[in-house]
Amino acid sequence: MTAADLSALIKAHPLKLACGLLALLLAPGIYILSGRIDDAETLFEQKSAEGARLASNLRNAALLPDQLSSLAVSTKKIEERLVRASQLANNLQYFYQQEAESGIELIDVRQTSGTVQKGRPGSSYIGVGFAVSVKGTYPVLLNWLRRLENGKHYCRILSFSTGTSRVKREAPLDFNLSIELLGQP
Amino acid sequence: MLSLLKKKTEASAPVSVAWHPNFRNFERLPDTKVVRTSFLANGVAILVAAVLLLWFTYEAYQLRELNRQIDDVQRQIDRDKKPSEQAIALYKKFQAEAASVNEVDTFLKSRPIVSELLLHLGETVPAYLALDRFDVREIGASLTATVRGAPDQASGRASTYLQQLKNDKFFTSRFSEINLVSLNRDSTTGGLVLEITLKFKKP
Repeated sequence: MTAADLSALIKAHPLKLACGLLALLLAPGIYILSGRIDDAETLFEQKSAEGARLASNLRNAALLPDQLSSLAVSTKKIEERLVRASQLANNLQYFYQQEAESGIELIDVRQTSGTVQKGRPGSSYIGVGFAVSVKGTYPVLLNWLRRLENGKHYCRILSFSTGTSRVKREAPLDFNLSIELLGQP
Repeated sequence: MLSLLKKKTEASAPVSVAWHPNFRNFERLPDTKVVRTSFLANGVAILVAAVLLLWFTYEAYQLRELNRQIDDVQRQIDRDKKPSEQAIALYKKFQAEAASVNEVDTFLKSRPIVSELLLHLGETVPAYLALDRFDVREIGASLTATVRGAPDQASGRASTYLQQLKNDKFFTSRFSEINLVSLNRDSTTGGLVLEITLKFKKP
């Protein structure tokens, strides 16, 4: 095809050729745009998810400062009620004070956990063990036991035993306990 | 119909002898078929180009809108990022503090409150029973008591007391099993001594 033929062809069909040329330009443009739209949609979804996550964080954290401060107060109160495993004299003094206040007779009290004790991994506190034997009348002993369970230090009773003589039931009772006070090393 | 639109040439002229001379110059006559085809072809070309142009415009608009939305979200992310990081740090602190409180709660709930057990036991013990011993151990508790009365009457009372314990909501909420393990005569007092074991429910 010579230049003259091409020129004649253009002159004969100018509109069709212009439309064809436009279509040839637009088709790859549409293809490229489609690809970019897909990418933009993916990016938009990622950004939306991140934005929603951040917004949710902020929404959920609205009351967090107040809650944290009240929790910090609680934690401070908890720490005031902990025993220290290393402070043997102070720990035993707790039981002697109770003896003086409640009217029981403290037969024996021993700290069964070592004074050098490591906490469990991931745990803030340890249980400091004590073996306690007390003597008294049933109401006095029961009163002491309730004071121990709801006292200054957090206490749990691991084992407990009490008994009376079948022959002499009016005799004072013995309470033998193995307990743990919540504490720190 | 299409046959009417076909350009008639000399070759396709009737072979039969015309009854009068045909003076038509087919080369110079306007070709109506060519005009219609060209019109349709132009129309189709314009339509295709217009559709592609619209499509392209719509996609460009869509991309622009998406980019605008991405910019909006990015602005929101930039605005919220720092406060969110602060909130996360605060929440980690909160979790650490809450763990301490939970640990105390777990510590206290891990074992029964013995004073409660003793109180309830004392409140519900029948007059025909004298408690001799009460032990609380790792997995449960045991109760030893002397049953007053003649042996035939005492064994029935032991059974009644066991049933009473099994029907007591306080005990059933704390113990999964309540069993009579022995019922023997005591050589010193002559009374029947029962032993009941109570197994703690698993937390």
